[in-house]
Amino acid sequence: MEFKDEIIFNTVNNGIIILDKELNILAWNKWLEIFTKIKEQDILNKNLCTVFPYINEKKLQRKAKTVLVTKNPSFLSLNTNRFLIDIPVSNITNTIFDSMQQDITILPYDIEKQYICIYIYDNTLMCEINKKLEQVNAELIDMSHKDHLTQVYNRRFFAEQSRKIQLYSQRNNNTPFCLVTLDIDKFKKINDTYGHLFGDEVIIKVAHIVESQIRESDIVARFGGEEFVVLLQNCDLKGAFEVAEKIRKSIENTSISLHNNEDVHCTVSLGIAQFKEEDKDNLENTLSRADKALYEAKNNGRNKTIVSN
Amino acid sequence: MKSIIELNEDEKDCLQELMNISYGAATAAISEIIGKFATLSIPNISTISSSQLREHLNTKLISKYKYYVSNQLINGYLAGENIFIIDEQSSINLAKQFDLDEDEINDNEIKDIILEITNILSSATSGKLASLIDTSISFSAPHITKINSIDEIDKRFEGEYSHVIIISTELNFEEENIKGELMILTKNESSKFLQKALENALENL
Amino acid sequence: MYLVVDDSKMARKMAVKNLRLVVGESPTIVEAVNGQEAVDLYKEYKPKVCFMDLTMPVMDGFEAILHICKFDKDAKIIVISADIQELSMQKSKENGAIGFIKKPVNQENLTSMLTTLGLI
Repeated sequence: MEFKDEIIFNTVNNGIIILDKELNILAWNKWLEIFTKIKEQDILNKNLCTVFPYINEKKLQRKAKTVLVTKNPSFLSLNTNRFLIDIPVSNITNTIFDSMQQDITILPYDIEKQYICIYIYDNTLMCEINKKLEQVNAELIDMSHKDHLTQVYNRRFFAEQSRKIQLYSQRNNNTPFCLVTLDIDKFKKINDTYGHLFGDEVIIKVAHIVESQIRESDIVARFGGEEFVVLLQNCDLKGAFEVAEKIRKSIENTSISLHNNEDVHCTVSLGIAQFKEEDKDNLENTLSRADKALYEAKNNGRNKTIVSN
Repeated sequence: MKSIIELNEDEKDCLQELMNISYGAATAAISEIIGKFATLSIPNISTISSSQLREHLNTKLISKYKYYVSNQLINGYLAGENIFIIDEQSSINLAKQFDLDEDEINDNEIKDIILEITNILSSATSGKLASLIDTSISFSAPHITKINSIDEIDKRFEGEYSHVIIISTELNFEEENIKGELMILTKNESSKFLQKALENALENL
Repeated sequence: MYLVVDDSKMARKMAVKNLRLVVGESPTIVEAVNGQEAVDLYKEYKPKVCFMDLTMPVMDGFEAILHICKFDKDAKIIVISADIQELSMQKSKENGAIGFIKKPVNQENLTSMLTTLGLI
């Protein structure tokens, strides 16, 4: 192959391959020689898909046909094809990918002779930036859903999710679900006696215990300083009572250590309500009934579970 | 740019005939490349604003379905955007037309195929149209997103454009239940360019 | 005289204009807007050559060709179409068309086709 633009062909900062319509290699530029460590003279007239057997031959063949028929470019999308030729990245630091992420353009080179040309662009840096952006976004979304201290859900997210669950249950023959409100007993006293930092530890501990006692399909959120709400899916009052009691006993039996090795115990009061027709499709009403039950528990000695009727 | 570009009856007629020829090139390309036969319906041509574009789409799409939307930018005097919209089921059927087996069909492969068909339709149609009115264009790589509900479409068309000429056609494959919508959009300067080219074509008759 | 059949006004104008460039001002050129009209006008005028589009309402080009060739075995029908798929070209030939011109029609492809068929 004679090229007038030999200099451009060998100095341009992307790969250029010229092929016939069967994908036999007719030219291979310096960029490729350097990145693949294969010299042009060693690869001429070989079939691209034989040298690199991981290439999807059917797809590439079709694209070659497309450019020769439409006489316009075709592309290999980066979203769905990470690369055409597997070239390891040179980075030692700061890398997410092992292989160069490539943007590929396929063009007609000579319509009469049915030759095509493939341009390979290194898009790795852009992809890395995008990936990092995706990660940060995911973290941000997660943060906006969660309570910072305990990492359980926050009130706003709970409202969204519980609404979805309510709709789902209505569409599925009204499968029962319950709300459990939970409040740490005499929390103000704990804060006053042991300090706010310790108070925080107590809240975290209680949150963990609640989480450990519920299923994947249930959700727990922190509603206020020392108040939590749990939504138990597919659960009636009897089942909810069992779960609530397990939580209550577990917390009762847990001790939280102070720095001076003194052990502190705390207890919680709980109120339960099942979503019913009388709530008129409004979860706020269910929550209200659960709160009333919680209030009753507080007024009757604390460290107990009361079920709303 | 105060006045909306309006195409008169003769100009629309002329454009319709040019599109007819361009669609012929596109369906011939499809039949040559994948050996399957497709038709592109007589185009619906209108000049609209971007809010009307949203309305147009809302009438075409069924809210329960999921759609793939791919677009390709055209550069040059006839600059604009070509958009291809296809529902999920049609996409799966389309993948089979590309000889994919059941187990090969996944989201990535479907997206790839839609991008390919968009590229074939777009480059053959716009390419032919450009050559008929004697101008050069180039193509950017097409992009694709999956839309889970009609509301998501609204967000994409938030920009304010006036003088958008939209040439819209339906793609149908002979055997399979495959239905897609191809829209060729030009705005502002390129709409004017297109109108001028149509005027010239009519004058030379 | 010549018969030009196409549902698009623009396409008919282009065909007539280019035909005039090839055959001059004197021959009569009659236009039809669909296959049915084409068959009717063909019976009435018995044109020397008929130029037929394929995609038309009421009756398409394929059918019109079939009908015309039934009552005139020597009909000279040349298809002018944007539909350039192999199958379409084949089908038109099977129905009786003797030539096929890819749109857009121009002086060259028209002259070439008519010369090849020995019609001018």
